[in-house]
Amino acid sequence: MSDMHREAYKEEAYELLADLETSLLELEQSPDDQELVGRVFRAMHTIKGSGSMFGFDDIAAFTHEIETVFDLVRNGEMPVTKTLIDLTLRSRDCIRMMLEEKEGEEDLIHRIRLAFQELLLGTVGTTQNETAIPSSASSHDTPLTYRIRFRPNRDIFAHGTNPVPLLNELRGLGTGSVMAQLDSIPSLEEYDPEACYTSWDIVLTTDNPIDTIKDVFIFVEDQAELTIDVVDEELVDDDAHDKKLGEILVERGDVTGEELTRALGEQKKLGEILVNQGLISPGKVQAALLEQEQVKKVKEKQKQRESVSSIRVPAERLDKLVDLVGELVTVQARLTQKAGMENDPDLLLISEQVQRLTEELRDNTMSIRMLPIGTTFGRFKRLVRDLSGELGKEIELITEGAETELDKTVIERLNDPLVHIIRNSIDHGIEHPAVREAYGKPRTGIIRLSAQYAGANVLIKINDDGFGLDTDTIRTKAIEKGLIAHDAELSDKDLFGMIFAPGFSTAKEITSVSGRGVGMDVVKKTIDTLRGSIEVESEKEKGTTIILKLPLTLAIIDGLMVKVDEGYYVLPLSAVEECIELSHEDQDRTNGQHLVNLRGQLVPYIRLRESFGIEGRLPELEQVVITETGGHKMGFTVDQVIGEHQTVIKSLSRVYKNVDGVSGATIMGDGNVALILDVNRLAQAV
Amino acid sequence: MIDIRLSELEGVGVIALGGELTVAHAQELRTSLKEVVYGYRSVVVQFGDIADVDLSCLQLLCSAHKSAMKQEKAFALGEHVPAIFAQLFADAGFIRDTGCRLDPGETCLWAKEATHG
Repeated sequence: MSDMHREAYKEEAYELLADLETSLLELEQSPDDQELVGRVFRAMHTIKGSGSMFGFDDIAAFTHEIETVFDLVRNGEMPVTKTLIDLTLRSRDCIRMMLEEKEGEEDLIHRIRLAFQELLLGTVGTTQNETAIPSSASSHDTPLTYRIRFRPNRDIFAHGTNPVPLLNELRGLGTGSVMAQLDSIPSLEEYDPEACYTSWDIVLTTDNPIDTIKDVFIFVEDQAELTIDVVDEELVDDDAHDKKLGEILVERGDVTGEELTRALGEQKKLGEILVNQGLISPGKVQAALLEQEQVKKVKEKQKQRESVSSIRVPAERLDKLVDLVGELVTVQARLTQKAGMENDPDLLLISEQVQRLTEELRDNTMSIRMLPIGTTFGRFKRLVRDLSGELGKEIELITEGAETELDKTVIERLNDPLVHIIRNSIDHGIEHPAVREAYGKPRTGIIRLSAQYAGANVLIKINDDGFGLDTDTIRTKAIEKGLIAHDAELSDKDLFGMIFAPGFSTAKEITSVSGRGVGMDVVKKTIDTLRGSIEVESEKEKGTTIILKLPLTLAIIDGLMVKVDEGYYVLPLSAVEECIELSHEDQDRTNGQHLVNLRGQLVPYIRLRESFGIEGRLPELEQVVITETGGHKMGFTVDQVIGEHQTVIKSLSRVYKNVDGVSGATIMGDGNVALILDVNRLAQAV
Repeated sequence: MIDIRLSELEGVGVIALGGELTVAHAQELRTSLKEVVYGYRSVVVQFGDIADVDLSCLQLLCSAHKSAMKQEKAFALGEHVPAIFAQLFADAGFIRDTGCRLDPGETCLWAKEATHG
């Protein structure tokens, strides 16, 4: 088997495992949700089947046991229990390790297999200490089609019940058809005026759980016969239906489609034959036809959704595309510049068209790289579940804005910082249930993870309703570490900023979760490299909120182009507040100190000419670009401000990786290179 | 109160219905329907102002139609079908492509052809 195929299998399996984890966590909340059970089963089934095909025999053998258990769950022969969810989650981790071909986990795998075998033998389960997880109503991701047969008792009118509103209520749950069966209505001679002779065949496609359908009939359940069956349970796997003879003959070219239709027209339809033979009433035939039509509609809709929803493209190809678009943007800028200089109307027209197309292409390409942040959020449910269990805490994770999209690179690099922050919230933020009760809080702590757009940025907030940050402890620790002077007067905001200092931890003891002080400085660094910012808000005994502000994309930024001597530089526009002039007289007034008076406020500035060791004459009037980073203003003195520039970021080669204050470079329209300044780093260096 | 009027027009029995066509008056409606179905070779149901109508009325009309079919008689709804009545038989799932086994002439009261023109 080629490596390529094995890699393809691994890629698919990782996706299935991610889906499996999400499904299991959801199943824990909604143990009666057959759709979720089906999803877990299908994921296991695919991992096993493909695993065996691509030579991952160990995975296939291991998954077999779990699949068998979930088959029993699917058939209602085994309940969903916490043990089952725990074991399956651990199995999922084991399969991942097997995929990564990690060794030394044989013992764990063996123990899990034994546990599943015990489950199968029925020695572990709901019989002793454990009860099945109580069910709660939930919705399906994909709608199911149900066949509902509702046959009221003859005396239902005598109870004052009118069945028609129930039918309308059902219609409100989804799409489908309602067919009244009138065969039982007798002729007037035998007719009992108070009897209900009508029954109904209903086909309903809905994403509501079966319990919601049952609820519709809750007040008439003693006055009617009711059956509810799922019609299209196997719809997802049911790609290949049994072909009819006619279809095969047409496919083989033995008859044409037209000939077949003509021939079929000459024979009677099955429904007609059955009705003529007196075996069935036309109403029954029509109800069945309606069901067939509804299932067909749902299948077609699903197929359509599947076929247009996505295609799989390797990430490298996307990166290459972005690179190429970047080059194109650069060339297009050169073309625009050249056309402007030549002043040729034809060339100008072409240049404008190229510019428009390039901009569209750029925006489209950037949008391809955008992923919903929910892909990352999903992983944290497991983290919170496992860690809170480990620490004996009760914590619920609520996520909001999972559909918010961010550049895929930002999302990938955001994972670790978010893990650190959430672990801190679990370990230091949320109190133990007993402590929370003593403070009059609910036993279960809440961690709220939310994302929302804010202009060209995304705000990610991690909020907990825990103990909050203790300013006194932070102050003491900061003095101890020599970060601040004994008598320093700092605002709460500045004090909270101390938690990002390397090695800073206020935890009284180090746990396996956190407390070593290696987390938050790494978080800060990562967010800085993503050109984002981080803020902390906290209130004692109420909780803490950490706000990450991140750019939507890393590939292109809006920049302010400036010039120093013959060199060009770009400052990220998001950090720029304003530009002011700086004369020699202004400098004399501050006795040569690098300070500028901004409407009464003294703002320090850095002269880029000095920072980069550029020689030559200073202009009469310099320009100061005022920026704001981390709540502080900082000016950058340049010779000339050129203007806004949409910047395609190119990374610098490894030779420059240790150069502080420069985060990348961009190629300008005329082919020259401009350096992109890292405003944060330059400011910190002062 | 149910309002039932029987009349004859060129040998066709006409039953005009109005008021409350509900289960409370089903017995009365059944008696009148029997009278008109057994009394004429062709019957037409005409609707006046309907205050209320329920499933029992639909069933009774269906029963009358079946009785007529068994005697090889004609039974049909008049041209004007009030919205309240049409809404009820649509909601109750009565509309169908073809009629029952007793209806070889395809005169079913609820067939799409008959109800929607």
